[in-house]
Amino acid sequence: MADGLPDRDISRGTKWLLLVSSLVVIAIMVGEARSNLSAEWRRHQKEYHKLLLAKALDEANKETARSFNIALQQVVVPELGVTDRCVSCHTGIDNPHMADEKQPYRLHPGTFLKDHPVSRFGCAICHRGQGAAVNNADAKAVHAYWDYPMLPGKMVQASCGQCHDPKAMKGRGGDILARGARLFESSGCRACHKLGGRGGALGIALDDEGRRIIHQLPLTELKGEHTVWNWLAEHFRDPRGVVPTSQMRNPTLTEPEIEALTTYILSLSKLTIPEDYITPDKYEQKYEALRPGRPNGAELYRQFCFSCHESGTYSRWDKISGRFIPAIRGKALAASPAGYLRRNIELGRDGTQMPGWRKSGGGLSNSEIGALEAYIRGGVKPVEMTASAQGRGNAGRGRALFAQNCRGCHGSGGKGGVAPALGSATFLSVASDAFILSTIKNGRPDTAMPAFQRAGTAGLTDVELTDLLAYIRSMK
Amino acid sequence: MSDKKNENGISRREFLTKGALGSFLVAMGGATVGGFALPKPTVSPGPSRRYKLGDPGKFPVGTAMKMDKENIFLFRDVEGFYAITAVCTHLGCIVVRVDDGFACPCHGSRFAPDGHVVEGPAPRGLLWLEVSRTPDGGVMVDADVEVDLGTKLVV
Repeated sequence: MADGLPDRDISRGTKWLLLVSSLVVIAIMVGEARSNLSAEWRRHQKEYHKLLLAKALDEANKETARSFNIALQQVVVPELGVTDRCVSCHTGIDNPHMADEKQPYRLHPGTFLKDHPVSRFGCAICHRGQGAAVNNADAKAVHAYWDYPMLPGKMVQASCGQCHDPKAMKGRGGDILARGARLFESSGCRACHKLGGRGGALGIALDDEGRRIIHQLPLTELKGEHTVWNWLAEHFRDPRGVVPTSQMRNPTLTEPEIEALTTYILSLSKLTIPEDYITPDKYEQKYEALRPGRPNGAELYRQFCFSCHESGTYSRWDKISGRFIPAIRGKALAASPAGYLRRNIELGRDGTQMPGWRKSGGGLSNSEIGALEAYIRGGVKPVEMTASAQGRGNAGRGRALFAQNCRGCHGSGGKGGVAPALGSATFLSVASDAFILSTIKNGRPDTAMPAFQRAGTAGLTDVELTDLLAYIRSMK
Repeated sequence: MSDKKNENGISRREFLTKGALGSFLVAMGGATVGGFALPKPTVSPGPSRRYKLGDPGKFPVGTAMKMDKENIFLFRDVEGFYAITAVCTHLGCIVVRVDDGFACPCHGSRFAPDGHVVEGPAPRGLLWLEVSRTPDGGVMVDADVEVDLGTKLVV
């Protein structure tokens, strides 16, 4: 008996293994079969089948309805990389008889499918979401680790921007998107954000902002739903409420405007769409960007300058950046020497938030900068400054004079304060000696800069002015 | 571990043996049946070849047109709708309609108006494709479903 025991035990163990593993396999098969047979899409197709039978009045329609085959449906469009199974539940999406049914049996609203047949576009290219999913929650994928969850109804217009010019969508089913596109230009977003190479550098470029994934955004301060569209909307309501360190000015928009701007931002995408799908209006938009018409100075000012300088006729303390933003428009200011204003626009002011707007910077063409300059000058002719230096100044003496007379506003070492930073490389290269001397001598009307030498009063002497100039020139 | 029999006369060892074998056979059987479903995918990985044509009223009796992109001839006569592929069964050239049927420009195969071969080298006639009604009342050609010669959709 003792010899036979091990053999018997092995065979008994094997039998148990066989029994348990077979039962596990059976359980898995039963589970699979059940989940397959009770799938959400199957339920919806059965319901749709019933609707078809109920709606079929004549014998031919009844025959068609009876022959309706319950099967998983899939739309594949290789050109767009689309594999969408949405039609497995939305079976009536292009059936006009289903206009009054409830979801998911209902006909697609509007005439969108006439120009965009499901077989050529699929669904997720406009609605986003997980096209290959076969149940509602997975298809929407809002709280899943899915990059592009389904867009809320109204914001689907964002997707029109892939193949259409957003502004051309007005009256063509894309009113919200078109409004957002106009708001983007009129709200001065480009003062800090680049789009298509045009705009400031303080904020991020927005060319691909519509393809941002929620997990790339800071969420700790976000109050509502964790979706990109809610993040954008809350950010427009109160930029620092979502990103405490944001330098963005509050755009002060109404709720419908926020919805429109959010929709527009969601439309910004660098995704390449095959040529066949691009519409003529999109080509026109691109053509206009390449061949702009006559620039409009006032419009350019609104787009690129207004956000910081506002009307430009007063200096103001900016709480967000913690700096003074100088006045740039006004009769006396406009009378600066030829080239001074223009080069400031072109080069910006390093060390401040003011970027350079030339082609390689903010992306403006020469004629656009010309139009901006003309608008800022407001018709006032530039004045040539004539004050000249008295020999070579003494920078050491100038330094002491600067500490007494200038540092209060201009800050020590040319860093700037209430008044502009004189140590700015742009300023030092753009401002001529005559301009600096005249400005100290006569002040700068329209600003807080007083005259330091006036007939009949005890001001600085010409020699002292020259010393100051030498000191200012030594700042670098 | 003796061969003690219970009231039914089955020993525990026998029960285990039978149970293990039985469940193994059930599992194998189920897996085999399931396995038969594998070669036939539920959905096609490529673009759909079902072409919705819309309202049958758009095609009066006597219609004989070529769907250029899809390479399908669509006909409607008094008996109904039928569709014949334009792809030659020889080497896949696109046949053209001629007075007495179809002719292949590549190697000279000729087909009768109903698609059967009149002259080689084509090994068999042009395929007839299924024309069916869609739930919204339209007609549809399914280029993936072949039907017998002469099958027409009565509208």
